[in-house]
Amino acid sequence: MSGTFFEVRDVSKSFPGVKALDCVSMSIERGEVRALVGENGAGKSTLMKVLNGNYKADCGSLLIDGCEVHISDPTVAAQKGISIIFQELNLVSGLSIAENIFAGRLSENGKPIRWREIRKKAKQYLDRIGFDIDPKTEVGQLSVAGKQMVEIAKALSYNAQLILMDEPSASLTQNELEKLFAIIRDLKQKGIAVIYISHRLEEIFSICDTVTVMRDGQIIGTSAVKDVTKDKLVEMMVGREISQTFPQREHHIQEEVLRVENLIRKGGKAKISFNLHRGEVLGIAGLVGAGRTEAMRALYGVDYIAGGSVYVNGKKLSSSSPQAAKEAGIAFLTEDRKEEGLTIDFSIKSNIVMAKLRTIVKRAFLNNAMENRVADKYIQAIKIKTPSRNQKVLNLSGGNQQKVVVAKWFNTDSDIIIMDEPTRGIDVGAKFEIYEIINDLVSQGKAVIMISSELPEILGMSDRVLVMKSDAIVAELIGARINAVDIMNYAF
Amino acid sequence: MSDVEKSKWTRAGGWARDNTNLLLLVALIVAGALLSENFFSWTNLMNLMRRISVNGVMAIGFTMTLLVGGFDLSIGATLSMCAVLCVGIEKSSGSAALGMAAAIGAGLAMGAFNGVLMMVTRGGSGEAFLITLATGMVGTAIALTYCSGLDIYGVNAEWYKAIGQGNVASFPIAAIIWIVLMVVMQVIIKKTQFGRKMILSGANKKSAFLVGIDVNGMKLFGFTMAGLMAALAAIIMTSRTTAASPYSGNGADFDAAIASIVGGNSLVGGKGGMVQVLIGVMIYGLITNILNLTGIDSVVQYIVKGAILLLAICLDKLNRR
Amino acid sequence: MLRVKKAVMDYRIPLLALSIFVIMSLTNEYFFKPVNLTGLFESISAYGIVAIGFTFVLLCGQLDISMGSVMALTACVFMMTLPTIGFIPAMLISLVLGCVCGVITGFFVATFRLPPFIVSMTMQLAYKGIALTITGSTPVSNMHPTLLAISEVMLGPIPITFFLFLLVALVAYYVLTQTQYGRNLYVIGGNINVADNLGLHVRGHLWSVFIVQGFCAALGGIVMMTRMFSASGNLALDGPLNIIPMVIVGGTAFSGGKGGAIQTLWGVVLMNIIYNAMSMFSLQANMQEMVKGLILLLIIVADKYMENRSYKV
Repeated sequence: MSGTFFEVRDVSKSFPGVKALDCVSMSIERGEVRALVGENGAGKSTLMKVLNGNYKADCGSLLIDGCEVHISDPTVAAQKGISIIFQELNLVSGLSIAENIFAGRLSENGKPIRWREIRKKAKQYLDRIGFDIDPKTEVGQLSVAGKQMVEIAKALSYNAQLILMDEPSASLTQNELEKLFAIIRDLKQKGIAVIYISHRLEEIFSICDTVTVMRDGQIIGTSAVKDVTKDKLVEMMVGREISQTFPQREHHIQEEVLRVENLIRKGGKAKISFNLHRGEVLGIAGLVGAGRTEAMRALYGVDYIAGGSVYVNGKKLSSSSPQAAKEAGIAFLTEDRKEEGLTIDFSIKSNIVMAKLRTIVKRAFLNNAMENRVADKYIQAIKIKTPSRNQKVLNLSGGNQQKVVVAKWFNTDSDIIIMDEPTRGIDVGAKFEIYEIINDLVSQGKAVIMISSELPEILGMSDRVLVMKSDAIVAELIGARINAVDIMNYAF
Repeated sequence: MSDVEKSKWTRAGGWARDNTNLLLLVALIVAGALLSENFFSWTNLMNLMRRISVNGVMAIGFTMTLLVGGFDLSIGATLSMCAVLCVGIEKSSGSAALGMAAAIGAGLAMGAFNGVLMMVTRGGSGEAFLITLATGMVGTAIALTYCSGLDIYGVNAEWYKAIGQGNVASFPIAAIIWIVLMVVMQVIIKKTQFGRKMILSGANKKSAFLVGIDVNGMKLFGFTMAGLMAALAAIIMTSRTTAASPYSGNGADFDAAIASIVGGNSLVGGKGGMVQVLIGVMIYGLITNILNLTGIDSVVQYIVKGAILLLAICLDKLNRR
Repeated sequence: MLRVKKAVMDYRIPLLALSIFVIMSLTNEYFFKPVNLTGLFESISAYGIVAIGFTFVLLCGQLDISMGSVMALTACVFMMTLPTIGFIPAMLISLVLGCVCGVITGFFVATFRLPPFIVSMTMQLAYKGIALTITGSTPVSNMHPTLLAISEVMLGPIPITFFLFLLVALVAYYVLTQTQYGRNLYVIGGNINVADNLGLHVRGHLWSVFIVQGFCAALGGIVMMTRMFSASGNLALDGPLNIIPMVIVGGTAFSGGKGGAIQTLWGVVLMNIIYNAMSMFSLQANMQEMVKGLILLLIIVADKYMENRSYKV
């Protein structure tokens, strides 16, 4: 055991309603580049945050060179030689590269800052990774790749022995990716270990030595990269019994109900066009940052658009606004149910009726009895678990909160339902219920668009799949041609 | 203690926390009764009602801005502006009705101006504070320019004076106006689709926008209402004092804010209503009354009221989650 | 050509200030007279010092509009104690009082996490109230010999207090650019998550900037006494109205993390020149207040609009 550089032993971490890490154990050697793969919600980010001190594990231990360490916050982690490069980069855009690298450590004990020295030292670290740039440059001016380099230089300046990279390649071009790989190889030579989280299996085979697969908060397995294939990895990530976790459904696809033509959001990189039919579940797959949520927000009129049109039942929407979309019969269940899907301080019943107040109006006034009846109807129909309809939504579990959002849109009797990550952060039982609801909707002749980062969901529920990348639709897979490998391939 | 007894206490504690405003009101009424023997006499109570009506109407307007997720520091300046306009035009044109119309027009204009700026900046309460701080200063300057810094005297029409000074069945007309306005607003807020949409837009602008509510339009409405209320308050006030001073609104926004927040309206938006306004205005009126009775310097009263506001905000924050 | 363009953009505030100064000097006969110039510099000194304090607050992404009342309160205390205990002790007491005001305001914001705008609004009225109480609502006037002596020390038309302002600005510049503490403020204002991850004591820093503003407000109040020789609870009622534009125009934004002492210095100079020019056009005092209010409004709306224009709500 004492030969191992870094070890995680039986670490668990739970959040209300969700067990994010379940007795996770793994060990890493110096200079090892370990890939960490798994679907969204598998626990990868949570594990990284525990290692970095952002979260405290409920139980288990972390060991460096055989000695147990207590990482209570990010500064302790940095001292112990652990640095993390988050996806949402941890930099202050208004300040220079040099200052970002040495933020908080610019001088000792109130002595004046020696900027020339700081910049010189910064340049040294930048040179070490081959990033030729003036350390005075404002970080806000850099591309994502540049910012990542700054983060790596920063990690080096803390004498990091273990660098955690969370989806580093998400916004990089091929060139920039090659440069990143060169840096990682260099770090490897210096004996620095890297944990590399990524959805992009091709990259893993290019740069990593070993790979660990996670699923539902557990470690499924670890092996050398040369001993596995992409398909094997996908199988481990996704689990074998795909068909059994999804309800059966008959596919009756009818006429077109929605058509989107050349839609592009303000600041978007590409136009999209697609259509949707009654009785159809259209899955939208892609990596985080591919632009799926942004596309739906543009469709629904939540964000400004730069062009394009949306037709419902052949009629063009009167304007690009949620009002027009809702009137035309489109419902939009957003990704962020707490901040956008619900009025979190209000009761279940007010949330359920808020999208169509007309349903509780009697003689021009809102009627309390009607509001109660409408709320009860949906609470029973979708089995929302709550002691009372007046309970604040804040106090419900994730699954029940999502059900309230569903109830709200049910109340509008919309024909087209857009769902963005409908089962995120929800337990297995509630997930199944949501799938049943979706199937029920399409069997009534409605249409569902489902954005999901969980491949099993896409595979198990969709009649047709659109794959998006960099704001554009890059592939359309229908029926029998839908499969995990193709989707992953198109996604990057 | 047994579990049943313990849960009764926690429920009582919870009720007390949710209804601190009521408890405070009761405490103040008791204090008032102790300090003054004819506290419960009809004349005294009616005088109290008359006195708090102006602040009461102002508090309605301020609350409307809170409900849409904003804040309004300019209503004091609007009060001054409308007051001098009302009396000034009444004097120069001879028609009280014209003066009133001018005041109402100015109030609506000021409120709408604030509302438009809020729409343009997509503002929340932080932006509202800064914007209304500035528009308030502009409004005060307008008031001062209009009357060259001097008070205007001389409201003539009897029916006009009756608004502030008269009674109907020995109940002050001013208070009746205030109560009627509160009832109307409460009905709108609680019982109409429009009102419900307004509350939702203040509570969470993103979720309200996603269900098709015109969040920006609601802000415009809330702030315009605040301007209108300030104008109506100005009418009541000038009819009572038969004079208008460009400084009459100084601190009136603060008074309205304290009354509204102490009564239970939340800074966070979308929570509260006219019942809270009623309680808050009465609390504020009683506190002022008691402070006056005990002979505390008016400037020290300022500080006491400031402390109360801070306490109320702390409580609001604690109650929020 | 491109480099000239960039230079103009980078130095637009000083250039604008100098241009208006030159234009006014050439076109208006009263502008360049010593009497007017002295007044201009005195105004720059008093408000400028306070503006430097406000800069610290904004850099952290906070807000404090009580600076006017703190000026009033400390100036009143200063004038009241001046005859009995002498200049230096009176000054020390006022400066300490300014810091105390900052401690109180900062306590509510940093520790209780109450919204800074409400707290400072309340404290503004509280401090003003205290000032009015202790002075019995009457102004305290005193043509104290030391004050007179100070007011007469000049370099041409420039009073010595202007150099005090320059000193304060330079010290602030040093703190903000050469000390860990100062740089931490930029991190806190720029991205508070980064600050947390770095283990900076955010609460302590936030508290400290209110104390800095309190101190500067007190110092500014004393400087004002060398010009006005009279303090009352209603002194600097339009403090925020004057000072906020000076700092924002200079280049420090409401959102925090951007700006600095030298930027504020030029913003103070520019705005005071503009206000002075306005008074040259014999605008009624109230009209001037209205124009100032509109300028403040324009600055606020422009800043917030630029920040939020990509959102629909």
